[in-house]
Amino acid sequence: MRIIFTLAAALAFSLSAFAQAPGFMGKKHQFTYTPSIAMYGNESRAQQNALGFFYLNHHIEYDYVIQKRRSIGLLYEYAGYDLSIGYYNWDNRSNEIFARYTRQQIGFSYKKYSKHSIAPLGFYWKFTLSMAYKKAYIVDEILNPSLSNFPTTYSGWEPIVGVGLGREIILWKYVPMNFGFDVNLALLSMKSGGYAEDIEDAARRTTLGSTLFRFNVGIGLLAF
Amino acid sequence: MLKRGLLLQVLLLFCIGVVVAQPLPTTYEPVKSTGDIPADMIIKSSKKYEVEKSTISRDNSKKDRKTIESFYLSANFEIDKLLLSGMVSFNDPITNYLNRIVDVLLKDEPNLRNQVRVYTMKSTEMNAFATNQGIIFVNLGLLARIKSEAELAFVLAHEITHIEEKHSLNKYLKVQTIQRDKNLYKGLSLDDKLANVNHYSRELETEADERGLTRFLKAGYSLDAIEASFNSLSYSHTPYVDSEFDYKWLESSTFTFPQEFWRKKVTTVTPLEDNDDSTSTHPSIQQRKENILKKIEGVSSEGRNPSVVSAEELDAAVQFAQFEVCRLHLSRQRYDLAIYEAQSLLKQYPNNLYLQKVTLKALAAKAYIVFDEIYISEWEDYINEDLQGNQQRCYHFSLSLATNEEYIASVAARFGWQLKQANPNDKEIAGLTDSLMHLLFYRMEVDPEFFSSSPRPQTEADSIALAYDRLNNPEKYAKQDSLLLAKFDSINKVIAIEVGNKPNADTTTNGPRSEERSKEGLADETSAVKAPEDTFYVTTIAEAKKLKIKMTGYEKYMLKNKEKYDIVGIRLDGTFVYKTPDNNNGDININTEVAIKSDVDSTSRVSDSDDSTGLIAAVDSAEIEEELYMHDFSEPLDAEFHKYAFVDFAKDSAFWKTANYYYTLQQKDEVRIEMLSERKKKQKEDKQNYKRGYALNIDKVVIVNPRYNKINFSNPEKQQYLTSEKNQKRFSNILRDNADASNIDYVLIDNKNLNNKEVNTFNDIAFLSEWLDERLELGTTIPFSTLELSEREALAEKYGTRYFMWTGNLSVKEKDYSRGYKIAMCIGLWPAMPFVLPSIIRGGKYQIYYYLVYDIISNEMVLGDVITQNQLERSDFLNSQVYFTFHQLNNKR
Repeated sequence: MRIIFTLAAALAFSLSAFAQAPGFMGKKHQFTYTPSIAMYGNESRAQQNALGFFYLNHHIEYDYVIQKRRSIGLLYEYAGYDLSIGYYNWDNRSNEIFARYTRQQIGFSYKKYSKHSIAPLGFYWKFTLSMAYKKAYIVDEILNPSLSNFPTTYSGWEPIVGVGLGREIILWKYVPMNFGFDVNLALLSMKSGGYAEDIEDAARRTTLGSTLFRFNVGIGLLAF
Repeated sequence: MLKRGLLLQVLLLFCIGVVVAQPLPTTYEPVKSTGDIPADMIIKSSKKYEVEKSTISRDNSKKDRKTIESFYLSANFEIDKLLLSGMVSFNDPITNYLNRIVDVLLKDEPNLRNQVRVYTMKSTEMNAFATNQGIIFVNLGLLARIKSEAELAFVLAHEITHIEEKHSLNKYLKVQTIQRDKNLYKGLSLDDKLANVNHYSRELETEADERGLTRFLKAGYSLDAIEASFNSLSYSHTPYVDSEFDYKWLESSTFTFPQEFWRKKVTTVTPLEDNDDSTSTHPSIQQRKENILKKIEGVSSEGRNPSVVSAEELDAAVQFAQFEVCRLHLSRQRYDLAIYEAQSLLKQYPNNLYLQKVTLKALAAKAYIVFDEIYISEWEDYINEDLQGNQQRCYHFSLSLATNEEYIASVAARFGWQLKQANPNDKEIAGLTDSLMHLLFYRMEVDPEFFSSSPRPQTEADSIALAYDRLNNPEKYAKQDSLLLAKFDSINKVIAIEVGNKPNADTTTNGPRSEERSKEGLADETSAVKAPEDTFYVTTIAEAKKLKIKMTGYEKYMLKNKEKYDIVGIRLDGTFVYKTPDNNNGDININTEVAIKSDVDSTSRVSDSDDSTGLIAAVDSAEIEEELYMHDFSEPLDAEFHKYAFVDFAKDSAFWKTANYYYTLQQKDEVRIEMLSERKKKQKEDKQNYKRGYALNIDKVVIVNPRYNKINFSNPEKQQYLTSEKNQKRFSNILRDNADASNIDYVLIDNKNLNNKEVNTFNDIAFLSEWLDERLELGTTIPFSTLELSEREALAEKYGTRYFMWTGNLSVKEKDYSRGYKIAMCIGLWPAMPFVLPSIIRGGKYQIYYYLVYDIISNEMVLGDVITQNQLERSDFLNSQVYFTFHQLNNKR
């Protein structure tokens, strides 16, 4: 992973040396915080989520404009949800237990802007490639001693590939604001199956559901 | 002391008279504004509007008040546009003179005098007009025709009445009333309404004539001028003088034009017939004249003068106007008229360099236009027999020249070279001539060997001398003879010539340039080509390749599309072999083909690919000829008269060196472009420019008149003049911020932000505006400017850069007719809502940003684009685009 990021950083700097991109009034470095929301799937019912009915992801990105219509970026994303898992018997509420899910994601992005746009302003499509470290653990294990035969924690890395469409505007010359949507595929989580039956299954479904289709609105800072 | 003062005054006046009336000797300085800039051009339009608005009487109905406000708003902004267009000058000798005539006319009416301001306008139209604000614009086209000061005074007196009686406001109110009134004008058709407006307008004109006459009589001007001014008006459709035209100035003892170029008879110049004035805003000229002449019956002409202010100043003004109009014709693409008027003036001012340059520019412009196959409307006037008098000869000559691109280019290059020889230090003439040589030998690919260096035999004695010469020096005429033989062979289809025996390009017909070409290795290449006999023809491209025959793109195209054009093949001399019952199968056939004569001679065809490109020229010219044939401009009997265009320069090695340089350069370029690496390099460059933008490495740029406009097309009456003016400053600030951010050195000049002392900047902007108008009109067809190079160079030096930029933002609102469908789509197909909703919110609004950066010395546009974004107006879009513009200018790669 370190090698990938080292390479990405080296690529970014080498491109910056030759790209001669105009940026926005000469400013090419951009930091944005973008909360994105994805709708629930039926397989998990987190009731203590921040928005109640949505998965909320916190997306932080650093973008660098490399050409008139292109930019590349490094991203970090964090997501944390409370899950409820119905072991074996979904209808039996007594078997429903609660778990905590977190996902940390790092990767890089590539944005290409529309014909008459000059990056980072205007309409764009983006491609992201990232690695997610997901972790899930049961929080009420004690209340359900009958579950002791089953695993109570799960963690692992997973590659996520995404594409998105969006638009960026710049307020007061320094404040970029973007809005759009994206579609992401958590490659290892794409399994067919019924309801979440164990902690791994729940984590898989949550990863897939919270990244698959999301709307996002972000704000940030455009500098030098 | 008093006497001395008087003497001094008289001397001073005399001096001014002498200085002003001095005949223009060898050149001409264009009219320029001087002194303080008048308030009309400094005060903001919105302020003028506020002042006028405050004068609207409360006695008017609310509706009328609104109408008057609307008139004041649009009139102030539109008149200011005209004032700042660069076409208007002030405080120059002509304008001062006009103002002094107004002083005479209004000597007893000081209040009215304070209201009236006169400006000169650079327009060729014979017209003067007044605005509600008290401004009279007098066109140079009118001044060029004026015979006496009294004529001018009559015109000005007429216009003063329009101002005094507020005729333009009254007419506007009348139009509005007719449009809106639901009682008096109800049920009238559009034509009837228009007739009503025109009738009212004619009444106003009559009133202006009559009241103007009173002032005119009071000022003591002679009565004859009244009739003369109406007569001038009735001849406004003709040039200001019907002077004899001939083209001897282009001929010499060795070069003459075919007789078909001379129009034997010309029609008589007759006055305009406008007896039926029912659809006109002005009464007929005849009616006006009769009316006024009736009014002056019985008025004594005693003590009246044709000039009250100064006859000398009038002469100077008319001279200036005629010189300026001559050039203005050029920038309005009336080249033949420019030649005609320049030649008329040259009779008065022989050897005037300015007029000669005008003629050269007109000829050069025509050469470029004919080469680009642009048909200019000026010619229609002649073809439709709308022109009268001696100018017909000029147009006939010009159109005859235009039947073949080589004719006009040769003649223009010949004239240019002659001027260059006479004025070796004039950079502009040198540049123009060079561009004409480039056009003829590089772009048209005319082989310099085509042009003869010895005069054509014209008399019997010449023919005998030539025959003797041939007998005594057979080797000298070897090539000519072989050419003749080859042509003869081609026509009679009897003898085939051996290409290997092609004589070297040399001697008699060709002047001193074959040596240079052979140095370039071209002659060797030529002799290396192994080609079959003349009567052979190739049927496929592969066959041509096999025989090592180089073909032009056009020939390849014809071979590829043989079926379409019913041809079987192409001969070595570039002629086509058409399908006949005998050769229908496409087999090589020696004796049965039907040949079409081409202008390309057979030996030159074999030499290399470039010679054969004459075929294209021949076809192109044939097309033009065909188009003009209907108007009797068929090919002259002496179709190759232009072959002798450069006989006069036979010993001028510089001429042939230039000709050969461009001709061989063309060949080299063809080879270069054909090379894959060059093509790839070009493609890579284009790709880079597309991706990254240009990198022009320009250190400094002058931003001229940046403009911000808000336009509402959905309601034209609500032109957003005031908002546009407010945002103008913001846009200028955006430009400044971004220029600073991109580290480019810049100067921003805007004639809407000048103080009264900045007359030089005002003149610069006026000059640049005229230059830009001309560029936009001419596009890339004509690479030179009609405005003096020396002036452009002076500007470049003054501002420290040759790059000038025009930019602006248009914020447009149109009615969005598809809004209903979009709303329906949102309801019926709700997932589409995120995509359609922004469009619904935006309505029909869009934003256009444009920029043009020119090199004013070379007249080339170095950078330019128009970017449209369908969105509500956003300053981040503007900032982004403006920065990118500057970034491209000063970026280095």
